[in-house]
Amino acid sequence: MVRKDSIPTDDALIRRLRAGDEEALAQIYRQHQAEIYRFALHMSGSRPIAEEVTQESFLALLREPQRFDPARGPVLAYLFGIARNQVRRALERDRRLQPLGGEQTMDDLPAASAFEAESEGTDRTERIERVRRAVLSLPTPYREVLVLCDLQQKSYAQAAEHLDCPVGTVRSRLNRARALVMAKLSGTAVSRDVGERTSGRERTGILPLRAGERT
Amino acid sequence: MTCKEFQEVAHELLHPESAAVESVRLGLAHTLVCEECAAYLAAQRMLDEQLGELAAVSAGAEAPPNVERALLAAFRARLSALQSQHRTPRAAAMTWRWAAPLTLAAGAAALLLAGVLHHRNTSGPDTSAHATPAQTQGAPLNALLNAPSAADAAQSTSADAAWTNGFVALPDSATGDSLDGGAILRIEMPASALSSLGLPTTGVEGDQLVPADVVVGQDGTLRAIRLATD
Repeated sequence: MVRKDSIPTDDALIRRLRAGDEEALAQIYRQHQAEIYRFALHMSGSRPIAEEVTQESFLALLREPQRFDPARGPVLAYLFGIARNQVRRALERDRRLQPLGGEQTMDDLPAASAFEAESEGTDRTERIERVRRAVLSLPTPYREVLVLCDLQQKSYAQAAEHLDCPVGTVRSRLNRARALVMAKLSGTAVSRDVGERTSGRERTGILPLRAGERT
Repeated sequence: MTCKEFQEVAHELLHPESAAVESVRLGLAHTLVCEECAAYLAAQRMLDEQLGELAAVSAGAEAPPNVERALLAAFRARLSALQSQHRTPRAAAMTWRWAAPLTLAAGAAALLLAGVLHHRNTSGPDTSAHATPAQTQGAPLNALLNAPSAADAAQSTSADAAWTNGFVALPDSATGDSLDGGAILRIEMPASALSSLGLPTTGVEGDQLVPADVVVGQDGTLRAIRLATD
């Protein structure tokens, strides 16, 4: 069992990194790379972008470790801040290469079928792909909270820390994000304040949200 | 609680630990009297399950090992550069002192190259150019840095000679950059300037001009330099 006091703090690791300790960088990377990578993967739907974002996020820390201020939050929150910007830049850069909205290519992502027994059939795979497309079609602020809270199991407080916003903002954005995903999946309209309308109906089993229809 | 208020907290009812107790109590009570909101809560529950399936697909996903290798390589290169600067502050200063003249030289050479190419396009081959351009044909800079010619390799019998095997990246050059459309140009520089860039000029007077090859990217920036070997 590892004693708590034997785990170096973020501050200590950053101080070692500034002093030129390669092992400190390796420790920071191994502690946090998976979280950053999965966030970028869910946000972009692209494995190459996720790799690029992960690398650039840690390179930014390497280039300017003095910009990290432990008083403002943990290293992971700092890295999430960089990763968010990197994802936005990468998506903006690649926008001309990819269709907009829910039509993004998912070829880069690990296929759901690769994780399933064949006997489960294609229904589950198709369902996961539909949900993935719906998540990717969300506007960035909503996608960020949904990825953090629902796909990476962060608490509201943690998500607020990573996104540098109040908990109430996380809560309201998550509510809207979920409403948008449900509307996408059911092929129905959603309230105007989220600015999305869809048509058609898919076999999702999720009921349409008609926000404000009854009070 | 109204239906609208219910919809605002519905997803939190699935995770009561993150919701206010009073909200949970009022929300659940609302589902007892409103079928639509009860169905909406069921739909939220189904969405939770589907998002859980999506999360499970990538639950173990990690950045591939090459990302860590590249990061640590960048760390070592940076550390090495910093240590080099500390050891030879005069050389470092010289490097920057020559950065601007080198850029100007490259710009002039690039203009010359453009003129030569234009002239060739309009009136056939021209062998009068002083610069000796060679297209880099899309090779990444690190390929040039790591790939000495056969003739160069035959000369690599000493530490100094090893430097002449290939190009040395100039400050702020990204070794992974593509050199598609770039060129290798022959220029002449004072030995002292080449020395400040880390090239061996033993036995040559400081102000004596020495031929060197520079790699110029498509954007006109200098990427690397080496002593001319022929």
